[in-house]
Amino acid sequence: MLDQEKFYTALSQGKMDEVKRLTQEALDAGEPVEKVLKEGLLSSMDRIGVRFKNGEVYIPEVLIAARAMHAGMAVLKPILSKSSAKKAQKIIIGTVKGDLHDIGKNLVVMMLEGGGFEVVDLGIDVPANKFIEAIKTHQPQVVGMSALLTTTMIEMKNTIQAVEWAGLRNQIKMIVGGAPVTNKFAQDIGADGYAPDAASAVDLVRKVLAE
Amino acid sequence: MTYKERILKAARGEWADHLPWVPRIDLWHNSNSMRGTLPKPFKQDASLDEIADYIGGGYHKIVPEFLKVRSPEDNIDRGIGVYRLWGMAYRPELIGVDREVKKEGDATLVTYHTPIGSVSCKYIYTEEMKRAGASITWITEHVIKEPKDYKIVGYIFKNIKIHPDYDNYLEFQRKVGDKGVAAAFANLSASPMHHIMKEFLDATQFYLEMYDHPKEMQGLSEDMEPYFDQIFRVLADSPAEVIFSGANYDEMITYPPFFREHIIPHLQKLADLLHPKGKLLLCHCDGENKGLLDLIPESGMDIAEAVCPQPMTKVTIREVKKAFKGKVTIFGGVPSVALLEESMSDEEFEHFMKNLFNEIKPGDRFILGVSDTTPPDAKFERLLRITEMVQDWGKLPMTE
Repeated sequence: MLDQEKFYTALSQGKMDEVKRLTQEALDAGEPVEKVLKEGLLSSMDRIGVRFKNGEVYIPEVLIAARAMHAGMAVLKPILSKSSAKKAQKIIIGTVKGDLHDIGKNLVVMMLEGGGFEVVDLGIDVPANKFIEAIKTHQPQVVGMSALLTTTMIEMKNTIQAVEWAGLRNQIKMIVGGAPVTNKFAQDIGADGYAPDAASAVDLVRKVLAE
Repeated sequence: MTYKERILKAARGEWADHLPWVPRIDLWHNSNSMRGTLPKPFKQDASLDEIADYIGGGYHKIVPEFLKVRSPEDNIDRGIGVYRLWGMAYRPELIGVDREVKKEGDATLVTYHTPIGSVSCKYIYTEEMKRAGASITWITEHVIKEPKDYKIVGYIFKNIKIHPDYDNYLEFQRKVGDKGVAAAFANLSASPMHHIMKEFLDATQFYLEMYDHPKEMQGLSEDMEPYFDQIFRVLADSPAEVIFSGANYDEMITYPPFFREHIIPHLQKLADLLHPKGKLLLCHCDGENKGLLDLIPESGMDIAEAVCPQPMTKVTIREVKKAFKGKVTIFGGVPSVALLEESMSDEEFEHFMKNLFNEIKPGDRFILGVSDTTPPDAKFERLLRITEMVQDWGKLPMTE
């Protein structure tokens, strides 16, 4: 029997070895891999995400929990790759060209992974052509772009246009976020959605995918 | 009243004759000079102060010019957050440390050799950063890479000697004159732990290190205390009226428990040295401050500079004013996106500014500025329009 509270406690304390052990034990006890993933790791991370959103825990707690979740995922990954279970929806994400900031983007990555999405992180200073290449390679459902500077946020518009010119715009949702970005700016540049902070990113992705 | 008098009156919670308007335009100026796109009537070599005079506000002389150096020595230690810039009121000297510098294209690699080991860091300044008007280099390789580095960095800081450099500051103060307040720079970080966060580790890594190596981090923070104490004492005795210590507070990055534990005590310590001498403490509060609003008035801070409201953050100026309870002067109010045509139409800009002036009323403890700086692609006419608004509506106390 999978003990969700034990998973949550280990995850929220950032205990990587404990999370790995619990994951392995659950598998050894015959729990299906999908159940261990969803009810053990993801639901715990989701609880931490909700507490973060409510201002009950802060960035360090989210980061150590995400790291512990990754430790558990590493145990599951070889089995999941052979499993016939429905694949997670995929998101590619990056900080746009000319911008070297990554803390907000990193946090969004962790929140999305905790929300059960597969995330491909393209890193910082990502030009439009690299987004396009990644869309072709990874076939994501959503593309997320981050910018912290007023000088670089215009790259979001350029990237959306470039994706349109590449004929890929209709197959994906494109969302944006970052300090200078506003909802109006997001609408004006043709983005499908905007999140004001990392904690809202998961809700936004779920919303745009449901549209 | 002069601009300087107006700013100081507002900063001290007294009534000036008119709302001070002090736009920061350094990044805009850097970028447009570099691109050859300064608007008419300016020549392409027009200086920052010439343009500020044309706009008609005060001079924004808060953030040092990190890139305008007299010699490489001025900012060679940028990778550890130590500066010797023009206009600073102190000069740090590294003792017992051999510095080795290598240039690799756009990157500068600095290695510090100490008797207990060596550490290195790398920072860049690319053509793209120049065109964007970036006012500071970017650290691509942080000085702490493994646990043993904490002690070595601690050694460097324990052995830094801070010398007063008041003539250097007075030159800066003379140049600014009565057009603004020349803030004396302490550090971009308010405290040792804030310094470790901002300068020594990648932002994400810092939080993980808090869990993985708390003792090493605490040890380094203690090793850095004398460095901060020396700076605080030298600045308290300096001829400056306003001291700038600490930047980039943000409810996510410097989250409330961190701000309470690691930032407030040092701001209070500095404020306690400054206030008996009639000096004021200013911090660059350009992030999302919603979660920190109740803590800022407890910190001893007199001026919260670069306060940015909606739509770039979650707070309104009315909420900030209410939270500050008349204890802290707001410097800012115009979010940088308000100057961009991509973000606000002319009509929306007018509406935004009218609403802002309403929220500012009656205008006490307020210095109108751009938060945190005018972007390179700002519509220049909007800065001139704000000057008109200040002239028309900014007589203090503001009523109708």
